[in-house]
Amino acid sequence: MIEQQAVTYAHKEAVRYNGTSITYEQLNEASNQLAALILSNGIQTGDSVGLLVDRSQNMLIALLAILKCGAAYIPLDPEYPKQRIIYMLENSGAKLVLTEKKYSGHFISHANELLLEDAIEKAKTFPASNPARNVTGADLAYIIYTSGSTGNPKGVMVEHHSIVNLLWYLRSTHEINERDRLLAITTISFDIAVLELFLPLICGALVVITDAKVSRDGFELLEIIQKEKINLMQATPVTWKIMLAAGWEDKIDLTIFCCGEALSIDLAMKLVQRCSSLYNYYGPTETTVYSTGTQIHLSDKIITIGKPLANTQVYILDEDLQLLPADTVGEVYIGGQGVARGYMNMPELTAERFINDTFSTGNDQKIFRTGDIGKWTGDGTIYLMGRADHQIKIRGFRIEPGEIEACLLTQPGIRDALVIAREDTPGNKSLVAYIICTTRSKDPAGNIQKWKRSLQHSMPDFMIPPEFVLMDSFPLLPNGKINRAALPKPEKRLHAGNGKIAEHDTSMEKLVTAIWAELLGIDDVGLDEDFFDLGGHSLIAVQIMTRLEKETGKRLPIAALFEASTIRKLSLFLEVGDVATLWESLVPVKASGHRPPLYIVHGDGLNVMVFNSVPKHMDAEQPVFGLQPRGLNGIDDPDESMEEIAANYVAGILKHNPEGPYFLAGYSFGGIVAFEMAKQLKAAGHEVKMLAMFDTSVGNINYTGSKAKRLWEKIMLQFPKMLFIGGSLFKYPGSVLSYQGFVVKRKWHTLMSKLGLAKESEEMPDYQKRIIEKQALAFQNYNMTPYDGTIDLFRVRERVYFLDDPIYLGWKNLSTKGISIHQVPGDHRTFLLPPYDKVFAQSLQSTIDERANDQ
Amino acid sequence: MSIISVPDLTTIEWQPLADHTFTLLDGIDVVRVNIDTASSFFSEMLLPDEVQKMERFRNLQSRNQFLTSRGAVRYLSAKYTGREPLEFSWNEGPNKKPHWQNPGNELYFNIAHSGSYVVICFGRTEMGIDIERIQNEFAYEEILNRCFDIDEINAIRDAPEPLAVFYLLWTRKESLLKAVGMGILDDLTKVSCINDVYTTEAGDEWLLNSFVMEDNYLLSLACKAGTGLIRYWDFG
Repeated sequence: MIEQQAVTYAHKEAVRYNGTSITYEQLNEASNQLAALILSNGIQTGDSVGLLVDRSQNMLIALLAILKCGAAYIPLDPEYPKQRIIYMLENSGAKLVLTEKKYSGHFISHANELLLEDAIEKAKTFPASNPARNVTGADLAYIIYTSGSTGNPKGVMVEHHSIVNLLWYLRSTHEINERDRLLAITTISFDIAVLELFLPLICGALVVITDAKVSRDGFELLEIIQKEKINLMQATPVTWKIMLAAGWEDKIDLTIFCCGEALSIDLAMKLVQRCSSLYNYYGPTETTVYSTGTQIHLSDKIITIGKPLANTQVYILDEDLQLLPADTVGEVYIGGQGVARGYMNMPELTAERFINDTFSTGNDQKIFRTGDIGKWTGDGTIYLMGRADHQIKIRGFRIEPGEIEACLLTQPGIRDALVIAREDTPGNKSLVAYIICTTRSKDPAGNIQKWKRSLQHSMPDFMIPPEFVLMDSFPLLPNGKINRAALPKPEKRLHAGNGKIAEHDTSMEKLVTAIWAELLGIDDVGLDEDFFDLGGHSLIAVQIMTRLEKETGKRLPIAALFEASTIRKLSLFLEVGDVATLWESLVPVKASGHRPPLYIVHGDGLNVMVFNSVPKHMDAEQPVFGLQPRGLNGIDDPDESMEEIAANYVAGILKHNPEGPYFLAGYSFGGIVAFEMAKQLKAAGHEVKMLAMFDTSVGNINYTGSKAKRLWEKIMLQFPKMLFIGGSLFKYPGSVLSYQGFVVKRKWHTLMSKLGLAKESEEMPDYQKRIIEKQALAFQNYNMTPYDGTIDLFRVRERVYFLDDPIYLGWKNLSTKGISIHQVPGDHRTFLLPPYDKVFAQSLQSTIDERANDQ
Repeated sequence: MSIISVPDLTTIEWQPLADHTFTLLDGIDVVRVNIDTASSFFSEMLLPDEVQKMERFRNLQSRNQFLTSRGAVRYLSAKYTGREPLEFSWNEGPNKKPHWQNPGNELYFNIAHSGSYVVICFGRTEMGIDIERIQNEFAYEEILNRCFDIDEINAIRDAPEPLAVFYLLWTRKESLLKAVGMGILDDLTKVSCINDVYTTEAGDEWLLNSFVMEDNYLLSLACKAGTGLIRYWDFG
């Protein structure tokens, strides 16, 4: 088919990569020549050829060449462990591996190695005509290895006719033609890449290939879509999310295929509003890329995977392989043209998963058992509910959590539900339902009773979860899947990082409740009901804050009610404010959440506000506290040495959170303080899970150099930046004032009011200059020795000033376990501000998640 | 200064919206919608996430206020631009000031509600609007120090009808803060609205227009000096 397009569109651009492009004719001729060369190496129809190359035009030429030989390609990702690549080559019996110089000798196997650069050069002497091979639909096109849940990866063998069936269907359904431009971002070791690379080529369209780096960068993706006028793109939900996080707001003339993972209603609605059309496609590798699909509309209330594509059958069966009626949950089986030949050299597993199709009339047809759980909806579409391997056995009963979740999702007040089995006490496994509510109920306990009662109508007792946990959101893994391991234990769900605060007596809550009830005119306000959902507005907010000041003597900014908008949170705010006076340094940026808190050390006196937008884009259960220098209140003396500064902060943290583990970070100068704190905590036997630097540079300091020299170097490194940041805040007193909602201490508040009135002046108050002088002195006398742990270095992309060591910012030799670099958009100042704050916050959260799971 | 220079607190003449051609040059259109009679008109004009948000409100009045505010601003924006109500993407700037992500052309709006009314202003530059239903029993005295400076407090205390002047100054302050996108500050006392022109530190002049509506509502509109004619429309 592509050969045909090569004639029709001979001089039209076929592939573009990194600014260069080749025409259909050039693509076809180059792949013909390479095919001839491969055939001359003894490859025959039915053989398989490994392909281990970076993304480029050559990758596509090589793919086509292998197919033209009648051989099957095996995509090998350079990022895979060598052991895995060797297994794939051995399992498949590949005779040849096409690779690039840089990966030459990457593995040892009996397959011959052919270097693509040399081969393409050499192939120029071979005939450019289409090879005289008659490739049939029953020949293998590719073998893609997917991870097995146990043991070795499985090589899925896909035949040509399966691909042709899919591509024809998509071409006619979406009327793709020579004017279309598709962006190909997916690694070829994921089968959906087949669609990206071949669909445009059979339609005479243009395929624009991105490299692996661009594929993972939301900003770059948005840019290339605009620049290349892309109008068709396929990706998994994670990619769409990073594009949204990169500030995608405007509508783009883009048709979207979303696949590979469940598409949530939230994401779908965001995408629908930003693209010209959105399609949700579903299919396992074993049934060739897509098996079902549907267009998503703004009016959709649930997201289904639609109906089977052409020449595809879907069956939902019970354990005895009997067809199930609509609305009954069973396992999804897929038959038709897309079904693969089986797993390479794994006859037993093939027989287990590819079973005889007893529902169709054809001979020898197979259907594939997907392991996915779902049901037919009333209108003939399929609603997926999860994986069969999440099945639970409790007291001998087989339980399908997806079924309980689906039933919960039909209950009023539930937006999302997740059911798992926990074994918090050994030998005592029980079900827990995690619920995200649509509304903040005044009576959560009553609601849980109601939900349990409705479950009892439709399922046996052993399926009713005894425990329910209400959550704002589910914890996520870096790949966007739910982090089941991070779900909290039901009985120990605290509302602050510190158990003491949550267990504190509730006289404050009683007081706040009484005031709200009176001023809102509602008698039965629940602890977790939102002020604004109760009909609250700013005039009432003023009344509440005035009354609270009168009763408690604590003056909170009115805007605090926008952040702490429930009785529970507001009471906590008032209490933390109280407790916080015990240690001068600790300021809650966001106090609530059950996860271990993150402590951030500020670089200069003002930065507590700089972090305010960060928690908004982090896990709802992630508390964040800031550590500010002593002396900022203008009364206390600043600390003298780095060790002293760190010791003071450590004392504050230990008081707040005696058990740990600890997650520390520092911004600019604060990174060096955090570094010393981590060392002190470790020396005292505490567990430090994460030590992160927010663009802190220690430059190429000569650690043994003379004091005078070091002083000069160090000061030049940090302080001009700090002054810059300080200065910029003075210029915008409006935004300074509006951030007051997050600041709870009265002294701080008073200070900020003063600063807010400082107009355009860049003059610092004397006590602040004093702090900076003291910090400079502490830095000068600080002798840095390596830290026994990993350092996570968040490094900004844009560098507006010169650095000696732009890669490691001088940290490389200061860690015994290595530096993990996280590149974030923006510059030293703007990476904390919209629109970049979101990407930074998400990167920070996933690093925390990752470090939390480190052993 | 103890006597406030009260602007023209006359009753506004509201024209029927049916007579409106939805051309909007340099002036401002203020549209009022009665929640009790009109909210159901907008029930199909919210996006799914807006419906979710609406359902979070505890009482029917708040839900209808939200439905009417969001529905009406979509409906009317569509009228001005010749587009569909659901095409607009809601967005909130710093301090929660809303705007359309994709207005098509320069279309600014601001919304307020109280009691039975939603009021929305549309224009070609930034503005702010606020409305409060006057509650005769409102304990304004206890929040005076938190909201007003000494001139404002004296003006309220010395007025023959202190409550009316309290609402007048409060709605002015709110509309001004909304206009400049500041949201609610803790330093309300620093933004004195005793005069009907407020000059910012940067030298921008904001006109504060205030009116009594139906005897028991106070309505204030803050717009830049030099903004054209203000017209008032009744949704009916």
